[in-house]
Amino acid sequence: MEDWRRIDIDAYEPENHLSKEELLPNLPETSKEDIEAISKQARVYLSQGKFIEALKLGLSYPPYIASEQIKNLHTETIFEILCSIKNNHNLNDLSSFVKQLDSDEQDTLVKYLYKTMSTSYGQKQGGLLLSWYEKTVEITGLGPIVRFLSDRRTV
Amino acid sequence: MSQSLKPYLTAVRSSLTAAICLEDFSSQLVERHNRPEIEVDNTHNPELILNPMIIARNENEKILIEPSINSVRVSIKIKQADEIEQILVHKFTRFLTSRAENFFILRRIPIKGYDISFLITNFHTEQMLKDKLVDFIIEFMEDVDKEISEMKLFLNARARVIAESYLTPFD
Repeated sequence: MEDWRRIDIDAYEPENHLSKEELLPNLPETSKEDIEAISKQARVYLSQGKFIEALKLGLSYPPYIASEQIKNLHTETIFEILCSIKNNHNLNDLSSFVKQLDSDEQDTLVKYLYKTMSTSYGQKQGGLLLSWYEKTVEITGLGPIVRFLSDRRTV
Repeated sequence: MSQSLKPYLTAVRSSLTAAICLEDFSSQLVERHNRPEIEVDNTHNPELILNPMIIARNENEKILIEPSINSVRVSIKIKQADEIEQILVHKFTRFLTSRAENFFILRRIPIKGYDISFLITNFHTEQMLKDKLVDFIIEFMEDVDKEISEMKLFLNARARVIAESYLTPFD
């Protein structure tokens, strides 16, 4: 007989607890075409020197409900925007960029900063991301960090 | 203090301050149990686990913070530039983890991929001040780098003296 002590009896009562799927927010799914269009448009803005427009565009349409691959694609776009802003401005200008974002966009920015720091290409640029992070938290305080922790709309 | 260490530590400080916000919470599955939810298999209660965060200075130096409703697990990867540092870090963390009961928040086994882990539960935050806990982890991160590089210098100096005195008879 199989080892009955190891049977997971809670699995037989699925109505008693939440599943991972039920935690996902009820939002429309983002398609790959949308994300690619945003990344193309952001590159156009960057080449024209419209940095704040590119950043706002990237942070306004994050793919909350999408496959991991699409999410990573958008993360790379954001990373590119952040790098290019940092490379074309000096450190103290970052604060003015953060100030121009509204509070939802600041929250999304913090989400993407954490996400990029967990990727291998982001870790190679740790200093850059940390200076972005420092400037953002200086302005916003701990609010976006707490919202990052508890928000089920992951990026 | 080097260029990127300060933003790294401030990032860790603000993340920890946000993450260490714990309350007493009894297990939802087993009656009369109270366990750190981050440590148990939570396939049935995914709502108790919050999003984990990674703060990285570079590939070799990062910190993973995994918060849940009544516990936070903090794992640190200490900088290891060469083989000597790897050995030193290994010995150093083993020394600490084998004395984990004296450190209260130290976890006996680090998470895979990291060198040392802390587990902070709501009982720790009830007994100790949260700011002091955060300060302790920050101070640990500052000191451990210093300690390792000091030990490395000391080890090299000692090896040189030993090699010299060993080779004098053949001079």
